[in-house]
Amino acid sequence: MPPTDPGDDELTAYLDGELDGAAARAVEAKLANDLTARRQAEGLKKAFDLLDYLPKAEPSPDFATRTITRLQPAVVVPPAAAEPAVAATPTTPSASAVAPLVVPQSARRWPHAAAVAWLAAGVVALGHGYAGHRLAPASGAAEDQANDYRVLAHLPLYLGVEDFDYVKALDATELFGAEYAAPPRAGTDGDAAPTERLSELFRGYPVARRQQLRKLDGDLHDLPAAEQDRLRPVLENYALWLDRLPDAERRELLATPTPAARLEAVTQLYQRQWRDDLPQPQRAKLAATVSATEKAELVGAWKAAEKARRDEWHVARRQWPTLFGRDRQAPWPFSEPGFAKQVDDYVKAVFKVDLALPLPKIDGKSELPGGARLNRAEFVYLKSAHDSATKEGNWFVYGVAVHRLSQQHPYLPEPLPGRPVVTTVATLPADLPPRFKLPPKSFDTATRGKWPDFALEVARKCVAERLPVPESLGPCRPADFAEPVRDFVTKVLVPRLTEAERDGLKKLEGKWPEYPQLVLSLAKLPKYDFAVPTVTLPGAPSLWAKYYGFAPAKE
Amino acid sequence: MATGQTSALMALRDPDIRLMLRVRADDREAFAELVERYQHRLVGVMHHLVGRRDEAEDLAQEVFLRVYRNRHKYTPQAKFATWLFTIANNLALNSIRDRKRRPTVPFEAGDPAASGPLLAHDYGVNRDPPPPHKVQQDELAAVVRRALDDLNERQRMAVVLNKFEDMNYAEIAEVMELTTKAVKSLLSRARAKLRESLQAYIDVDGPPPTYPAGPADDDSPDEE
Repeated sequence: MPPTDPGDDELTAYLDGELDGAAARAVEAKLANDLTARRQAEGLKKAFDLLDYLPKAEPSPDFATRTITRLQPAVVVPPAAAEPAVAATPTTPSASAVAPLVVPQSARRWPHAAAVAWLAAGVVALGHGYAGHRLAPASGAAEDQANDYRVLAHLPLYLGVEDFDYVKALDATELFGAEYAAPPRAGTDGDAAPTERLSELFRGYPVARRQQLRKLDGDLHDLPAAEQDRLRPVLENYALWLDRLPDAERRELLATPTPAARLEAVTQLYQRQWRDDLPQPQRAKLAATVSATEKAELVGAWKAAEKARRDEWHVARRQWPTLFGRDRQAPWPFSEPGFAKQVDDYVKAVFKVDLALPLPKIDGKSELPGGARLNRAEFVYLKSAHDSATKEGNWFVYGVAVHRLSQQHPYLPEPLPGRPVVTTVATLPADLPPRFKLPPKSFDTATRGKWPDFALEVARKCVAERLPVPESLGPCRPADFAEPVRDFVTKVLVPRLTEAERDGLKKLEGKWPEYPQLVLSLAKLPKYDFAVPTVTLPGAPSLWAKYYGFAPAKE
Repeated sequence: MATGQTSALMALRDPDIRLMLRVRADDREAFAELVERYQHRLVGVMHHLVGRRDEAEDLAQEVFLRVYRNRHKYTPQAKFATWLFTIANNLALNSIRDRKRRPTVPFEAGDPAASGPLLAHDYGVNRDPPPPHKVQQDELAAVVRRALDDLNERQRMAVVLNKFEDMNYAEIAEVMELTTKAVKSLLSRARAKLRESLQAYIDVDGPPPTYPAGPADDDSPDEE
């Protein structure tokens, strides 16, 4: 027990300047004559001075804004609303008797977004000002409080979100789509239970908003697990983006009256941020460009380049262990015996190029063989990747190149050997409608000599002129296909199709290019996952997508 | 009318009262200005009281919200800061007591910390006190923090108001709703306890400090 005699009270009061003249003089006299008293006084003073070492906390930059924003519900919600006092007079964290909520592990599929600094940054407070408060109270709706723990656990992700449709809209944009989000982090399932702060925020919402959040949470958790995993980063990205916004902009966004308006505002703000973040030379170039069309073209080109870089990085990140891991080895399918040759065969058969050819010269005119479906730049890209694979073992790079080009240049089955392949005006079928009188020079020279590119262009022109597409443009029945494709269709694919699928395919017989395109689409369905011999890349399409796809396929 | 005249006189002396009277008249801009003006002091005090910035901000925010909710009940008296810190005092003491009742981090059996938080005099007993000039500032801050935490909540409040808000005993008494004499006693005990906790870090000529054997516990009210 510290000393508590009355003398100490006087000594302390003296040090604090609280004693009047006579009392002060008495203490001074004691100090003058008593070494122990002097030491005691000195100790008291120095101990008090040591308090200066305590760090002084400054309020967060947005503290005032958050505090003032919490008054918003008092304005938005009319006093006659179902819960007039809740939003306007939130309970204090200290005084409220909220028992800590425990989230069952099974409910934590979606991380708590601990990485999202929502709470620290005070967006929780902004949640009170969310436009959702303008909802009319749900009359008589029974609240499902039993499931609120899950809603609370994910509330940081829901704060700027109206409903599931809004999530889908976010996913559809290129702003927060899951394609480029970081893969799910291990261990994030063990997040903390919902804090009292979240609980307080949630309880401060009007009934209708609470019901809306419960429905959103239910909708999201009713999705298949893979879809949940895909959408989670969308919400996280959105939450993080909102979190990083200046207070004023965030508040403005959250106050938009409708989800559509909010999405529009989000898009515009995002685009503006993108332009502001461009390197200085690009910003200067954009500023110097007067024509709106040219500006749009510039932005389009830069975005395309950025997307390509992001795509490559995304794939590389997924395949990092394969690329740079200790046990670096050729990835599928090059790890399989003979598969590398099948890929080379595919390149020859579908792209119509020979990778053994030297790189074309810059000013050369005929370095690529006639019929090659790749342009010079694409050939250089593919050949460089192939050389890197064969010489340095960078098979992953080659796989990415082949997969990317196969998507840019989809192929269709060739006609039976001996039948004409429509690649030039001279080979156009005789049954082409008489009214089809486009002069040969009107055809895109880039497609001439190339199957199926030229035939596809003819078909498009027929459709444009409202003329029937001649059946003889390409094979459009099983019997028209060369043997490997015919056998695949009749012996592998069709027997596995559902009745509806089989009927749908049957109805398209005689229609080119619809029939072969449907064959390819059906074969690619995850439930079949077949490669079409001589037409698509060897091996299961899902594996190509998994190893070399730019983004996980959407359901 | 007397109240009106009093208000006018108070407002002339204290611009914050003038501001609060605007808040009372539902002027939101005035409230924003009030928050802006007092946020640093309030967050600072709350931080010294509870030791955590996030909790300090929560509490400070709640103080402001209470001010706003009770604006129509506001009657100018003394200094505005005194009224504000009276609200802060009630809220902070409730929060600290509430936290004591519901410890958020349970101690497990066998945990050496299970017997209670590490006290400053544990340092003095278990090892030689390092010379003050060698003590890193953050380490010292931690030691001082523990010493402050070792005070009971009322002592802590009195010390914080006295030290960081520079309040005299009468003002502290008004904020804490005590007599001036009780504040005097409260601060005396608090400062004696601080000196005891920080003895190892106080450079005073004389024999090495001695420490009491048992933990101090003077949670009982100090006021008369």
